[in-house]
Amino acid sequence: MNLTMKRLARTGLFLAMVMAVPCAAAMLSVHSATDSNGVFTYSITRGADDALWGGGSGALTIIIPSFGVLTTYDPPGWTSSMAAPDVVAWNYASTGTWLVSTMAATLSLQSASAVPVEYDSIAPGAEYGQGTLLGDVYTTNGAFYQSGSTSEVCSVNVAGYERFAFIGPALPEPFGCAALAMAVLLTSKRARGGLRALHRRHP
Amino acid sequence: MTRGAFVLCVAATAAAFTACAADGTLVLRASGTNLSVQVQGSDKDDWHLETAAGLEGWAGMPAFGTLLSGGADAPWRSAGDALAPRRMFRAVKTAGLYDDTLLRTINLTFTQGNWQTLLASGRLTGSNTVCSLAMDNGTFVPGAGARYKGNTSYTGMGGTPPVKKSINIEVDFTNEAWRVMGYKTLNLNNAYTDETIMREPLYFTVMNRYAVCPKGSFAKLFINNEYWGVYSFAQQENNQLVKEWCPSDNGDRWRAPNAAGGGGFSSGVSALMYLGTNVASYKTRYELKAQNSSNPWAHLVHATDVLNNTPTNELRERVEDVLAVDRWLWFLAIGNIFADSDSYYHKGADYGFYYEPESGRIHPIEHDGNESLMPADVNLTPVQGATNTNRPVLYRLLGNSELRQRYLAHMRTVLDESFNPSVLIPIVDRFSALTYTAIEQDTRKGYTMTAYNTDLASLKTFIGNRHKFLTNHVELRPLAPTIAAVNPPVNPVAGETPVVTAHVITNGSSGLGSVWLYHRGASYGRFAWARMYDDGAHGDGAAGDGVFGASVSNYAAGTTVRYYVEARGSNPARAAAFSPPRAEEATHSYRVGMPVATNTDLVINELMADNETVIADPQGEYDDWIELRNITDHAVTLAGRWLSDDPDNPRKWQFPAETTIAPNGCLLVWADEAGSGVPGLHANFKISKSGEQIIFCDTDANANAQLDAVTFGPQYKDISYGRTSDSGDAWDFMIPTPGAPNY
Repeated sequence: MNLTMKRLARTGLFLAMVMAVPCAAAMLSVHSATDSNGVFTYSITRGADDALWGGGSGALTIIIPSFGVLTTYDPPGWTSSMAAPDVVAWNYASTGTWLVSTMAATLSLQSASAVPVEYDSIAPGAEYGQGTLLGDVYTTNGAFYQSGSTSEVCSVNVAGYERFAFIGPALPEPFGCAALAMAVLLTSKRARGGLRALHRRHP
Repeated sequence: MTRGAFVLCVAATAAAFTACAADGTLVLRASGTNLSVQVQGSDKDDWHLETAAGLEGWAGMPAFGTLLSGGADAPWRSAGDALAPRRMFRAVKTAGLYDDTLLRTINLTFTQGNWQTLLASGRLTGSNTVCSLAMDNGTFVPGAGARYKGNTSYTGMGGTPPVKKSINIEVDFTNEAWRVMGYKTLNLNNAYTDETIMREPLYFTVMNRYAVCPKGSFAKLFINNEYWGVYSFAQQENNQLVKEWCPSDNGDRWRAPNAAGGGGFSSGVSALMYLGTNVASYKTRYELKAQNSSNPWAHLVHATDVLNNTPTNELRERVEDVLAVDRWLWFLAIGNIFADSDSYYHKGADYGFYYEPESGRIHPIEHDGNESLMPADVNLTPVQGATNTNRPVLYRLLGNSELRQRYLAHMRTVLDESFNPSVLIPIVDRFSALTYTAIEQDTRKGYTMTAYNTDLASLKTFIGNRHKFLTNHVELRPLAPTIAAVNPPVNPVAGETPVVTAHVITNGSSGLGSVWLYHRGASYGRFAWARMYDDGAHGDGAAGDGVFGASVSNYAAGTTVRYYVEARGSNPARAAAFSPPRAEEATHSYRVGMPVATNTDLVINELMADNETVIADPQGEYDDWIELRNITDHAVTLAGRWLSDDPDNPRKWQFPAETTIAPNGCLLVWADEAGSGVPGLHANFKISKSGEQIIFCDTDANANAQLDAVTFGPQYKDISYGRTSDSGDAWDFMIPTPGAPNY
């Protein structure tokens, strides 16, 4: 499946396709989609496990590496930032607790690259590294998951992370890379405020 | 192409769903693929950090370190990388700084090249040398003070190159606010004469269950990054220790040093002997370590006078007023079981004691334990010192047959549940496993690991032989009756006479002499006692059925009554048993409830928990308020009545004696925690705007009967909550009418 998708991506046959790449991990399911024009959309829902990821403000983060990011689209209650070059982080930043449940959190980004490729590597510094969710573990009732026995005094929460594969924009070929860099530069200058301004221009 | 590093922090918030009472929250942070964790909580706690691939299988997972908790600036600990598909992290609270499952690592850094000379000088002068202190749980103190300590443990551990000395560390030396997990003084004891380094931690671990005693564990010490070996890590004998055992540390505290004032150990001059009325005689024999009263020596003189000079037939009653007798008996019993050479029975010195102002009684404090568990003393008689007039605490207390049997009962309890080889030797093995490698790596200890292993085997042999000797000793062999069950009063309320019953049966040759009930209405102070009967006339059911009963005093509503039962045999020894066995350190308890008054002349009429602009108190502050209303046509006094927001403590705030309410009048009480401010009535509590209960109850003379109570939920700003009709039972939110009828 992975090899096939990569091959498809490199031959351009992914254009205008909508794809779903459910990740294998038990607590999380990530569906990816692209519109063939550089918009990549991620639908984050719970996996098959009984426990859920979740978190209050600042306690739930979804990190998605992505090339050529021009802007991001945040669902209500979420804020995004560039955690590093080519790495977007969405943080839940509202009141109450967001549970990664059957109701999807939908995150989107606009990339200068419209060619899709699977980000599925777990190697440090890999070209197409997996995404990561960091958060707390909850029960389906919305309570913190309890890990301790009666003889233990445990932290209120169990925190953790889960890696996931997804479809994102491909790194251009060398010639394309230079063109991509120029496109990003020009687009950013026009935006006169970088990513956030771009976001306002493309709500 | 590689990614740049990025840092993301996931800070958990427990706002919406906090499912357990743990007071620490784990925070996970990613920097690139590197993970770090932090625990937000009290800076007095630290936590074992654990990780697992999934949500199951935490049990038995090795901790990857301990981590101090605190605020947002609490230390972080690396948690590995985020390359696995999924990982979970949790934190499990340790038992505190002296958790004896941990081998702490302490690093001291001195900038002074001659730090050893300075520390040696400090031992004599009391002056500290500044150093930084870091611990493996992330604790860091930039300016602690250190000095060597000890007497024989200092001089005996000589050698070239210098071997390790005991060190005292004052955490708050350069900043009074600094603490290490709540403690301001640390002791690293070199365990002189103890190759296993565990005698003191073992002794303290057991003693700490029964009597005022420092906590003990282990620490590795590094000084300027050089390893100095494993130390006995012992809690300081100070006011912090006192406060853990007594209602406050507002009393005076002394140390009985080794044969101060001359005379040697045999003289007993520091053993609470009566030395006359001249306090100068005492000042040369005792070190006053903490003074909080104007004339502390008078307390000491009085206590020694009562202890030494009270006629034998009056001693049992009178000595309870000056000594915490039961606590002394535990202290003496455990010192004997452990054959502690630095003990009261042996030296009549080398211990501490504290005058508890709340009760007027003196409590013993254990001092050190490195000379306990010495093989030569395996056959030490359990009543060593009981015939020595220079050990008056032993001589006088054990001279009373009832207290002697209590002392022996305490010994049996310790021998059964703590000094039993099946219990203690596994702890020895655990301590050895915890420290062995670190001791092996210590090049300054001055002995070989062969010597260590020999001493370890000797220690275990001692425990087995000492247990065998004592359990077969003629003083400890007589059997005591068995207290099969103790039953508290059923739904006790103030104003009624509660009855405690106990089912007591004979145990072999013990016979059954008498059964006694001890009780008190506070967490400290002497117990009152009453004999229990099985005669069918003391709330004990049928006569002769083995169930004994006695009435407890009529304590006020809300009081937690602590009680325990003693059964004495009819054999010649009159051997005693207690329930619970650890009495008086542990007790049974029940809570006195409030009766509900059949009628009332006053009611709670209205309240406001979020007063921003409605009405100011006489001091001009917009505080919470509670309105009472007189529903009669005559004036009513409130003298002696109580108001509270705590159902477990209905006697929280008492109305001043002169308080009255006019016929059909209203009265405002400001709930501002002021307690006694004037003008106005100011209760010593506030009202929670998220909701709680307000209770109005009668005087002590009227058994604190509940006159009125209201339970309410979340409140709104500047909206009151009150009765919807004058003296009616329906309540609702309303436009505030403080001091006036509600409609």
